[in-house]
Amino acid sequence: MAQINVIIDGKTAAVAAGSFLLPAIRSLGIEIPTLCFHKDLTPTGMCRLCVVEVESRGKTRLVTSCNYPVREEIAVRTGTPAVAKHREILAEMYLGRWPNVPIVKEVAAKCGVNSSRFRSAITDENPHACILCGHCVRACDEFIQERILDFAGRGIKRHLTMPYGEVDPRCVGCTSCAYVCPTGAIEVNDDLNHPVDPQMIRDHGMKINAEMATLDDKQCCMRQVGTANIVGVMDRYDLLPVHNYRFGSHPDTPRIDMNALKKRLTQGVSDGCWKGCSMACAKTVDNFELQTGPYRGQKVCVDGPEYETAAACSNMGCFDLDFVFEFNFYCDTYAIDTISAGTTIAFVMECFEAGVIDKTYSGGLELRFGACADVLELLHRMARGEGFGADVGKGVRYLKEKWAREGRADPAYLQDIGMEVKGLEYSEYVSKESLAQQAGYAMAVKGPQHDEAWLIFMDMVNNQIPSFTDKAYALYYFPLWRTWFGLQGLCKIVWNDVVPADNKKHPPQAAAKIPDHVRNYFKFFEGMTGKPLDEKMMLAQSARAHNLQRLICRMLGKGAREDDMPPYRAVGPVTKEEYESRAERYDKQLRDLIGFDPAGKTTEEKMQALRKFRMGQYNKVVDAAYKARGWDENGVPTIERLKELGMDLPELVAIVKGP
Amino acid sequence: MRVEKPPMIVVNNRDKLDWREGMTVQDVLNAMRFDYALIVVSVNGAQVEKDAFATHPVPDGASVQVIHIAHGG
Repeated sequence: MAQINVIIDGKTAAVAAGSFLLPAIRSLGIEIPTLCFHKDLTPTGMCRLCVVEVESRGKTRLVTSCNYPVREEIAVRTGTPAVAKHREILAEMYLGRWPNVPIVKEVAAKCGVNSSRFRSAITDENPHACILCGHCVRACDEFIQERILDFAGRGIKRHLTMPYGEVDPRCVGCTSCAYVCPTGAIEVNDDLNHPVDPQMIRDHGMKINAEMATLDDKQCCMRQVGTANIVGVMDRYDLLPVHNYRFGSHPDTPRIDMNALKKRLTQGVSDGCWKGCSMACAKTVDNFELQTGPYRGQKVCVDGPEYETAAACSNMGCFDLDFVFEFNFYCDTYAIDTISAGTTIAFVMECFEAGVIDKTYSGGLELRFGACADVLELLHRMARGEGFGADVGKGVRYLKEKWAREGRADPAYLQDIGMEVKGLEYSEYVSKESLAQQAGYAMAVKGPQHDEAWLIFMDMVNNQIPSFTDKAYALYYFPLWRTWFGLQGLCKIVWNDVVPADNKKHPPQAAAKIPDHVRNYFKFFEGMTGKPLDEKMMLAQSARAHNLQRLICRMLGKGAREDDMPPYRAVGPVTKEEYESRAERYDKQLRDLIGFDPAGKTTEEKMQALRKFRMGQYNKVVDAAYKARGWDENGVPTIERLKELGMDLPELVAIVKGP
Repeated sequence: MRVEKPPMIVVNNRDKLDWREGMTVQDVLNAMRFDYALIVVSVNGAQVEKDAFATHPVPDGASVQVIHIAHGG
């Protein structure tokens, strides 16, 4: 952004073009009195105490500095007689109306005013009187996007109210208004859930509100489009699943990305995922007319789509927002998970195109990639439990086993392209170029959902965790951290989908943890329970739950090393077409990482060498991660680890020992 | 015989990029196709503010670190 030189009381300050004058003045150590200014809220200039003299193009005038945008070189004078006189009169008037409010007295004193000639019928002696600064109105709007509070009346009748002077049922008691109120006019009744220290929770929660209000538009645009903001990003980094994870990008992605979606979302506010959340990332499309299924022709309200839903559609080759909304609506209506459905159908499509199944087998459905209408018909049949649809509804593992039994394809091929681990379908990221993400997915105790360890950027792009030890630590810390806050009922999104402006003060590996937000969460825990928490204690708490989950996996017959093995599609290119589409990348890796000269070799030979290398690497990272977690080489928690965690109960030890 | 090393920079301790006179941080980001929202850049260990990406010079042989703060749905 261009910098503009501003001369303030004779001193020169470089100011970003378009930014407001007040922070620049204060950065020089010059005090400016204000009553309505708040650092995290849009300035309004309402109290007019921040006036300064601005000279521009030979003309001098008084302006309110808090909302005066700097657009050209100007000279500013903050203490001229005219400025002082203006502030004095205003301060005396404020003091006349609210003589006992501490902040008014303090600000008036800064203007040289300690008494007032203007006491009258509207003088309010209450030390906690509302001074009409508007902080609460703006906090309700900008922090929570609710606009429940506003001013009513004019002149001396101006007052703060909710609509029709009644308590608005949409107010969830987020307390943002009370938090920013400088006089205590808004009281908070802290009887919800009886936290030990509600102020501690509020102090840290409001930091997130302020970050959302001031940073989100420049960062992830969660308020505008929610998690689907990353559809385009994933495509550009070759990470968006396309055609059953064969590829990471597609020329049609702009048809379903953030910019396309923005034009279709109809509510810029929270849809009630958690009312009062300042991020409000859940989005809505209203009046969407359904084209298929039992509600065909009806106009409905569709929730979402989230990133995973949009990417499940790219995975099926369906780059059409109308399809995305209809698929999303019917999955929600039928209580079908969009991720599992999308991943399963993408697998079915690849098998259809490879001739594993045909149109007769699929009940007349032409399930090629991009066949939007046939996918919707399949979805309706899945919901009705009808024919081929009933089979698809049972997921990838069921289909792989069934089609192998029926001799429709080589079981090894079906295993390679069927994207599931432990019976759960993969979520929507291409993990081929990130070893840590491959392990994050396949080692997740609940199956390859992305919640436990999302390490793609940290590993593949940033190269922040280059060694096996680094990756193992990430595979130790992040699953435990994410398991921990999930157990507390805290949302993942405000942990790292907005980042403090000064997060860069931390060295890169620490920065990835977003330390200030981790601290917020620790303080939420402490404010609720009264028990202080640090990283070590958090990891110990979480490890108990995580290890118990692993033991439950083992009880269910899914907790051994073989259950942490990914389908090869998650690790590298399965087909010739896949290899050749990124041949330059893979050839370079063969040369640089393995010392294998690809010149003159067939694609099959190159694929074989790459596969051997990548699976070797995968097993090494699993070894390192097991060690970091205190598990043996078969992925079973050791008895020593259970003892360390205070979990060496006979029942659990028996599970470790096995039958 | 003396062999001239081609002008080169290294991104994230791994990816090599040809260097040219007048190269800026933004040029490096463009060449790497890095257009993520949450990005922190340092050149030879010194952090570069976002406002200065287009003007901050990257010298020959520089180690450029581009950290993407991971978020995701």
